[in-house]
Amino acid sequence: MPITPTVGGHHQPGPEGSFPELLAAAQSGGQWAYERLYRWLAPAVAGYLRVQGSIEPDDLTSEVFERAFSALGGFQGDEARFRSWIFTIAHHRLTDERRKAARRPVRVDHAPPDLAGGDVEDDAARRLATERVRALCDGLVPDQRDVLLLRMLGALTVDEIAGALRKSPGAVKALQRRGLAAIRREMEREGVPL
Amino acid sequence: MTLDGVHDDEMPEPSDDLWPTGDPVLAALAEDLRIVASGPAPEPRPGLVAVMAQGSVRPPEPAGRKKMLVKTFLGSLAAKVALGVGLATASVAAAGATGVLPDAAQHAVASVVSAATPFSVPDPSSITGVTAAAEDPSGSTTTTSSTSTTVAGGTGSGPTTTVAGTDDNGGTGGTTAGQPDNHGACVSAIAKDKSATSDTENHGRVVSTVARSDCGKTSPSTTVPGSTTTSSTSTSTSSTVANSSRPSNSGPGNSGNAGNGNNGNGNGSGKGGKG
Repeated sequence: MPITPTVGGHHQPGPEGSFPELLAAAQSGGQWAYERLYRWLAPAVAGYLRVQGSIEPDDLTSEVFERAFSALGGFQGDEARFRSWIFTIAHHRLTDERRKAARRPVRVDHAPPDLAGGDVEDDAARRLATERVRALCDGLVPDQRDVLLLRMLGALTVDEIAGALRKSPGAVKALQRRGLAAIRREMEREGVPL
Repeated sequence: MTLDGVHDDEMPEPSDDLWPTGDPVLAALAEDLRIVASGPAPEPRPGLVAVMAQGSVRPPEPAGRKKMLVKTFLGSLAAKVALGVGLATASVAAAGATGVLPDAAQHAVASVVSAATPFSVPDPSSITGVTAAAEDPSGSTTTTSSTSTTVAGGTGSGPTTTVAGTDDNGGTGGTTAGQPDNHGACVSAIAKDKSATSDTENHGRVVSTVARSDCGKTSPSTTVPGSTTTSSTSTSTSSTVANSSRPSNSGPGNSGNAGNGNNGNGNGSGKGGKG
């Protein structure tokens, strides 16, 4: 799987094959192209929703891609833009879910998320990592959490986050700076092994 | 002032857009996030499976809202124009039906309405013809046709009485132009005019028929049971309108009729009496 360089020197995997060809095939209705696009970004989207505390992250992930694929004919852009678009949809769907939950409170099971991936060791590592990130994010202001997770998981730029959150780029930068400082303090206080 | 001799506010501010690299704390967080985002994709739900299986994608939307706005504006403009034309047509038709349009326009509306609908509106051209006939000095009977009340004596054997548009006052009193609603005057005129019937019995019958009719009443379309309306009635009606709206067109010999208490009557005239 090709590697796409992203924020902070760490890398996000790219789709199988050339993205422009994949996009063109999907826009022509190729089912295989849809499946590749889904396999490429669905894990990251599901992880984002899970860390954000979504009630049904897997259902919401399907909903995000359903919306995206339904409107794929109008999409224009490269791989980074597609990724940003998908995460923007994911964030909006998450906001909708929270709004609905606020109107009709749903009992949320705080048990560890079900991550049936097939490999027990990987599943355990993923579960632990998810719990650690969620615990860290609990100490953040919601806006700071949104900015940092969209930046690190979605690899969105400041301007793209500003558009997704309907904030100014300056506000996003400030949220990012304060959020990172808060996470650093929290990790140092807890003595997270470095 | 720092030790380097540089003021704090002179130090370049760190760019917020640049992600801090080489930070071991954030590196640990980034590693956790990489693990979170790894793994297999969740099982797609039926809705997504359907979208992927159909392979149909919504066609691209227009490049901008501008196009859509122009389209919307044009659509609404067409609707407004259509509404305006419809209202104007309805207004002209209504004006034509009431006969208040100028002659040329009235004629045009009458032609269109009679051609396109089963209705008819007053046509000044046909009225003009009657008026011209009425102005014919030799044709004194034409005035009769324009304003007379015709009471058919019945079907078959009964006498037919045609009452000229005279009134009690010889056309100058009692009933003047625009004063048609006088049933009593109408009946009285019939009763006094015995010249039309030969014998008393028939005269009484005629008077009785007229008394029971709507002669002189306001309702223009009421007919006497058993009566028949002839085509001359239409002519009479049109002529009445012409005379009432243009009293000056009536010739001197028509004064008795132009005034004619039969105007209201003319609308429903041409009635047949009982058989």
